[in-house]
Amino acid sequence: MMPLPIVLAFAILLGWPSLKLAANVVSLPLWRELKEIRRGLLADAGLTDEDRAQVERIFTSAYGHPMEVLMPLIALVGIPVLAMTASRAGNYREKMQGYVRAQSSGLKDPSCNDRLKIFQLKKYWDMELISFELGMLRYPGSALLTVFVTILCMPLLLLAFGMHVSVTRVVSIVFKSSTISGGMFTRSMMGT
Amino acid sequence: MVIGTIAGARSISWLFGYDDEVKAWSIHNRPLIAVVLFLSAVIYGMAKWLEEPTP
Repeated sequence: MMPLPIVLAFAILLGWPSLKLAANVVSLPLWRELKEIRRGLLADAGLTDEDRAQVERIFTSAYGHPMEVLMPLIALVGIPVLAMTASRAGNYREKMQGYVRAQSSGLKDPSCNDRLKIFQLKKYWDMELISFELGMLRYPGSALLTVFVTILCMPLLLLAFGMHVSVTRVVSIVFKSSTISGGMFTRSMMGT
Repeated sequence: MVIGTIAGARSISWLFGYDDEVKAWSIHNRPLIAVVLFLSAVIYGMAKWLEEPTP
């Protein structure tokens, strides 16, 4: 019988490179597609230098960033912190609505969306999607761990938000009903 | 990565009292350890070979 530390070490020693190999095999057709789209976009005579720089920026992001290795840790710390903020914030729903409003107005802003001509091309958005996918596949272990940590921590966030909403609701119902019954009692005592 | 994994396994075995068991197992299974290390290196090499080189 193999001892547990040896099983864990073997799982990492064989699992991690296998995961990387599988991710690289999956990445091959995506890289071909990405390079083809990039070539097509750069050859487009109607695009400005700024558009081309944006294409290069998105293409470079497909190589991922070494900081992605820290993503599971960030998720592990960030989600409980968000959960605590959610449970503490007085008007969390309003804050969220304000945030969504700000986001959507930013997206609707013509100066934001039409600044570059390339944003109107479907190929550019395809490129961005493929680039994001390749960036994730560059660090497959980290991406899987991030998903795993998020699945583990997400109930915390939902529980904190749900508790906050339900506790606030119960307290407001108790407060309102006690005010009404107090008022009725006073009126009945005064005979009005 | 290999050094980190071995160090991690040693730490776990020391922390959770697997030390004697791991030592006894390692002495009798050196060829298996070598095969796993070799396979790991081969798979990693293939992964690196297929990886798009960073510009």
